Amino acid sequence: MAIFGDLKDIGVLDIFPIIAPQNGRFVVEEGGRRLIFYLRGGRLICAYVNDTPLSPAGVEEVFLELARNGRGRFRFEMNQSPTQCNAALNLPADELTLRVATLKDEIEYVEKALPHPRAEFLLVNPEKAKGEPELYLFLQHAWPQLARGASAEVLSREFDMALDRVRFLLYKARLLGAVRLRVRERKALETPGLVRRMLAFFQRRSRQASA
Amino acid sequence: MNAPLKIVVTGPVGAGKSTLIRTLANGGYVDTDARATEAIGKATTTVAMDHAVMDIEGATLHVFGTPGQERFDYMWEILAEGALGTLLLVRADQPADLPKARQILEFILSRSEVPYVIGVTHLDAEEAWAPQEIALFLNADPALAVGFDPRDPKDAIRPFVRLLDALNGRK
Repeated sequence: MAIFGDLKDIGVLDIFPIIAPQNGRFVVEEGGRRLIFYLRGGRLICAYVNDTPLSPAGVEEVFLELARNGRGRFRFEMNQSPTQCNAALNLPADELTLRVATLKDEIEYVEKALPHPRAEFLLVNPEKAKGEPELYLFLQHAWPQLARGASAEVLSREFDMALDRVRFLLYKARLLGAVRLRVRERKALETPGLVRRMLAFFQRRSRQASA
Repeated sequence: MNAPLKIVVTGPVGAGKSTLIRTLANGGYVDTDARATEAIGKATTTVAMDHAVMDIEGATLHVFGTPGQERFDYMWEILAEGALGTLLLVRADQPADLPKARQILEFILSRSEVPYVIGVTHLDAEEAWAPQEIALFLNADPALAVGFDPRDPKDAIRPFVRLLDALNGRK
């Protein structure tokens, strides 16, 4: 007997609290990736993505991604311990679940207002985000990129953060006036004569259609 | 003047992109519609791109329509390369599509220098936003929003004329 299934049927935030108090490893396989989380007595002791150890921040990003996209086959293998922990985490599993669940809810609440992943933003006044410690820290890290203009997609790649979390942070930063959309100047027209000819063509066609 | 010219038509699913290009094309049209497998409010949807060609006194104008589904967003950037302008289509009777339209517009504004016009369709619906109200939501210049019927050959030209006016330096 084994605990197994698909995250599209049982979400990671549903299954994780059930297995977290036990000892063993939780394995998720999705699109060529293999995620392994070792659990002991309610704590996440170490985690890997394709054998690369995850940092505490990396674990949260991966968890958020799994919770948001609901993709991947999972199984829990009881009493499996890591031979060695390259980067010991020792995170309380219930706190991790709660943090990710809260973040997922916040993101889903404003989902439609989130910026396009490839829309670029510029830093305007990071001090306006001082009241939001997590956001302020993010803006400080992303300062060089945002000073010249960067998208959520680029920042997510550079800082190894879940794309939706970065979109959410940029959304909040924009609301506070800490960043703004980078609007490029419309290109000056190089062929005005041609445009006038096209305009005449369309106007002629319009007259023909109404005749 | 033999260099090909290009205008890109984009917007959320069901805004009327394929209809507009079909109307403009007068038969010279490549259709890539397929039966919709998701509930998107219509039976078929564009899965690659729509393409129409017009001959304008020796110059060839290509009009490309992007698919409306999010997973094809990357195509807009490829198609917009070297384009004269972009036409963003938005339905006046579906406020639920407006956040997606705003996302697309912000993407256009921050990624390219191509001039744009907002074409507002389905204005004949019982309840509809005015083009200026849509511009307000999109945080765009109201002068760039044009209401039109993409099924009507005479009307279908209006957003193009507006775009060319903008290119010509007239507001």
